[in-house]
Amino acid sequence: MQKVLIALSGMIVLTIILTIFYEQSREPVPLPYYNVEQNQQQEESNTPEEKEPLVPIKVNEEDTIGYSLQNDELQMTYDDGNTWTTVPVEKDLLFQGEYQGGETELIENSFILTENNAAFLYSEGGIKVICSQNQGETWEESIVDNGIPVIRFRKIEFMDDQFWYVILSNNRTMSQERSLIYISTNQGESWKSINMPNTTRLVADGGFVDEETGFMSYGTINPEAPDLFVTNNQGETWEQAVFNMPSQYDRVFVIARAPYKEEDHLALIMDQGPNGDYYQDGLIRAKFISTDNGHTWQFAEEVVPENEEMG
Amino acid sequence: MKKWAKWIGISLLLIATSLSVLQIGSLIVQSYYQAEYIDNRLLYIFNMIIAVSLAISLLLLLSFKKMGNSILVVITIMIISVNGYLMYQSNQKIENITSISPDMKQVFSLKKNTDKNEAVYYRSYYRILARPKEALPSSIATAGEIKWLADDIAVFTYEDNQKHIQQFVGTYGDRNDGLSYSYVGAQIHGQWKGENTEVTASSEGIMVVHHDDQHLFEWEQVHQYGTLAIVLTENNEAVWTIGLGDDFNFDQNTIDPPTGEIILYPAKLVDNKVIRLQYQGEAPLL
Repeated sequence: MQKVLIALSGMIVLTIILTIFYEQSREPVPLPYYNVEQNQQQEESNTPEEKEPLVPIKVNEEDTIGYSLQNDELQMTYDDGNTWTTVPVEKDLLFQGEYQGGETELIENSFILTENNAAFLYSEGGIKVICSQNQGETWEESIVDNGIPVIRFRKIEFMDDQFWYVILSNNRTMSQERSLIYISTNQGESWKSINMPNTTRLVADGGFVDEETGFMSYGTINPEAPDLFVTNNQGETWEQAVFNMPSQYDRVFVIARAPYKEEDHLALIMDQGPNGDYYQDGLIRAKFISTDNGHTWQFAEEVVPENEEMG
Repeated sequence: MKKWAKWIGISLLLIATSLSVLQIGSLIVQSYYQAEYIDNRLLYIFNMIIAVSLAISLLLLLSFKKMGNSILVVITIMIISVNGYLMYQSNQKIENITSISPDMKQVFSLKKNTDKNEAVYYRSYYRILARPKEALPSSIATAGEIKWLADDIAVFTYEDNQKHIQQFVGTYGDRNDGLSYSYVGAQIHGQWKGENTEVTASSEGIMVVHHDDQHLFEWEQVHQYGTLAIVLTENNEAVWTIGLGDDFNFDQNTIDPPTGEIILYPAKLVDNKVIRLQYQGEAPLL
């Protein structure tokens, strides 16, 4: 009898001790989900510290370099989103001008994000570039042009340390606008605008393949044939490029993209334009090559787009 | 051994054993169903009751030598003091604000995190367990009293960080079939009269005349809790709570006027008295 009682008492005392440990280590029961959500929203409005984790938008699929526009600021990462550097520019300024979109991604070609260079084109009064050559440790601001208000087309490219260029278009009325090219040979310290082809059609693309040889491609609304201008002297004189278009592709491939260097010649891709319906829903593109520095172009092949569903 | 001592000893032993089983069982239920004791101190109180009952029953049932008795007493005192200290300490971190309804069927429970001054309202289950329901809209700087306007309406008055008086109402029932939501404001439509006080609910809002003080609360200033009570506010501050009395009855499907009384309760931290109001008739057109 006595032994049973003492054993029972021992167990009860053990229970007491266990319950104390349980109570001391216990976390309070959280509020039901919908209430927690409400409270968090309230907290967020009070303290803007708790934010969603940033998801990098990759510049290159295989790369670890990316950027984010979350939380209303531009941030970039060089290690797949583990650490972030804030770019000291207001997000809105990156999208000034003619832009239709949700501001979830940067405008194509309006920025450079590589291992060595980070540069973002933005408007603040005029057109400016903010760039960093040490992955965001220090930033430099450079004014491309002070007097350009509303821009539409924008592209920035660094060929090498000695040759940066910016292509802009502004002042659009219906299907007419002004196009501009700025070149900097001193890493953004100063920019000079160069002479442009004599046309007011809408800019489709543009670019340089070397310091002297540049191209401007025009026509984005109902073009009937490619309209590409070439210069071999940094814009002093422009000449319209000639395309040897096979007859079955006439009025099919109509917008040239900026040419690029390939082996010993130049090459470019041509799109079908907004109304293109040449088979596969207008996704097929054409490749042209030029062996005379961009003046005449020969059809090379049809190009099936990568990573896109076949029709 | 005397017979009565034996019986007391056995019953105390039973109490201690069953409380221990209850304690273990409720902890299992708590972790399984995400619940807590309705008052965090309950666990320590149970432990102390268990320890005392067990000690007395052992003293009565077993004939220890003097040494044995002393050890037993020392152990018991130790258990009680540890539990007492932990109970005090836990209430410093999470302050429990608890009140039992007049009919002993409901428990109004708030747990206030004293670091953040935030309080969470708990819904009770099986009298001793509770689960968090919602956070109070504002923090508690000074807690006032909890008043049960009816067996199922508890009003908690407190002062928030901005020195505003607030009232939070816990409701535990309804006056209808309990199947549908109903609006207190619509149910008390009409004129109500009590001691030195008149309440008129009309389409304009709720007019409260108390002594010489007359104030109209528009419907935007009226916050309903459950289907039993409304709080009338002015400038983010509670002014009155109106609850439906235990005997209140109103059938929306008939043209009969409401019967029973409604209860007006001022928002004051001290010296807070309820005012009972009876139905007088339809609201006069303003």
